[in-house]
Amino acid sequence: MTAAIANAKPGTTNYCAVAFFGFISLATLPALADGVEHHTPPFLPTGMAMFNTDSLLVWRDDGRLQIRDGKGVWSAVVQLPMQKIMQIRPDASGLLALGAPETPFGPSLIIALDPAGKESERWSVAGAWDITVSADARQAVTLSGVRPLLPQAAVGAEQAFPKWAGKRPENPQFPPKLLYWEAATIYCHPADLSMQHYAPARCERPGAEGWIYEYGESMQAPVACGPWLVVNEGKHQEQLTVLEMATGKIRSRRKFHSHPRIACAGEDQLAIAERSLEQAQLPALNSTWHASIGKDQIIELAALPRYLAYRTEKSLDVILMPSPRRSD
Amino acid sequence: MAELKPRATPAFKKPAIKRQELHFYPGARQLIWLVNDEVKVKAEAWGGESPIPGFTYSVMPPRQTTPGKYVIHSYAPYRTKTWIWSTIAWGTRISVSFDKGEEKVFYETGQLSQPWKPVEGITKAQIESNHLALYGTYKVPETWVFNDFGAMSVRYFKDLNNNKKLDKGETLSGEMIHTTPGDEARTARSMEVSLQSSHGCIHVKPNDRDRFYRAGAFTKGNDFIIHGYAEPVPEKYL
Repeated sequence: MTAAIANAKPGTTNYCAVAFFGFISLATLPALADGVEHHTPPFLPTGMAMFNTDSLLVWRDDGRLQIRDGKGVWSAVVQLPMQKIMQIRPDASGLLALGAPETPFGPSLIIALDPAGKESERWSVAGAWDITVSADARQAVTLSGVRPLLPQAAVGAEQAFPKWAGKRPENPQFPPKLLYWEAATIYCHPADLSMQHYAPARCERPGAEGWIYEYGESMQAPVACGPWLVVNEGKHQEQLTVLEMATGKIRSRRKFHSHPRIACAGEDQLAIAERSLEQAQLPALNSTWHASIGKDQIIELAALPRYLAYRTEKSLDVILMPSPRRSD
Repeated sequence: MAELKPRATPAFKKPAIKRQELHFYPGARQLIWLVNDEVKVKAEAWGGESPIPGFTYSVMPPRQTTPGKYVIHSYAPYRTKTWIWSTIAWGTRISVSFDKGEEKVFYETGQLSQPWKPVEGITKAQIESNHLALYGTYKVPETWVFNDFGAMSVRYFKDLNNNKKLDKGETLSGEMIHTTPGDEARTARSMEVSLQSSHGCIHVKPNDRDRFYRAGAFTKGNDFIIHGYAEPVPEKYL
């Protein structure tokens, strides 16, 4: 079955195969052995994330999303008023979704949704590349800085990125991902592997107590988890490195067989998925919990308070595996 | 008796020898196509620059384009495994399909055994982001427009035995004449192109590359002379 999907002729997504695979999965529902939960979304997901404390969000980049609330109930499919989602970020009051510009270099639509998936606010921002959420602000990220997203559809003036430290012949051509730790902001640029603008991946904390950490050809976004920053490194992104966000000092490194997917599962716990699921203590990356899932490679991971949600390369299901409670 | 007038000997017509040369003056940033010492096409072209002292270069520090006498070898899309965006030739058809649990971008190989292969090391979202940077829309285009060397590259070699052929013991120069994906995108959007220094290659504008090509400057076997950085363009070619 999977081979049939993999060998399908490129051109369009093989929805027949997806639907058939979904039917097979539905036929096996509910697979709730040992509390493991399977869910087949009515679309092939592009991403998933924990939001609103204990809810799970699954979306497809064509604007469709589905929400599983804390009681385990999945919502109907919500269609966002955008043809293409570039980014989704959960925040304290729901989530923000950034749509792709509909005309070349035109403005992008950003909408805020409440925990039930209902639109609460919207903004139109020219040149938006990303959205970022901190404890007290929602911002659109442009190529040169951030613009606050204010009430009543207002967009604040751009606050330029700091001057990047280090001696490089040119500034990065893509904007950084912004990560927050206490009062500090960490700016992380993925590697630029173009010949003209080549630059390694790097995270930087600007300012007097600033630091720079460069980590090769990684195009993966780092994960902030409490006071720790976790980056994928190595030729195949097979190594995890934990940095202290305050100082940029390396606190631990650990190699895996392949590229591990990671998600923050609490201030000192990192969920790690490869061909098994694991929780590891930060910053040492010592394993505290482990669960086998079979032989399939996990390609996506999100950490909920009592579950790890994941997808594998050989199934369209979102699987929720009970994990140790964060307070345990 | 009529006097026989000697018939005038027809004037000897010299065969028109076409002397064709492509010249690059890196200091003056000029690429000039000469036919019988007459300028046929002239355009701005940028070579490599010396590394800036004190700056950090991660992989390939820039260098000056190497002066010398060369012979044009080919004019074709270029591929290399050295640069991840250049493993696929410009203009290759691409398409999105499902593979191993997620949507991936595939490219057409032209091989019967495996007509489509997944693009390795670059995700669909990264391709969409690059398209946003270049063309302003977040999408997977129909063809590959991300090759670092642009649509076509002109390759050349040092012809050690002067037979105009690439023989054993002769190698293609790693430097070549090409455009950049950014300049290709600006040209496609009818925007002005401002050239930038290369790492050693010779950068031209896409429209100028096409003009040189149409004029025959990039024909296999043509002589190509790269002058020194201090050498000015002779006044007669200005």
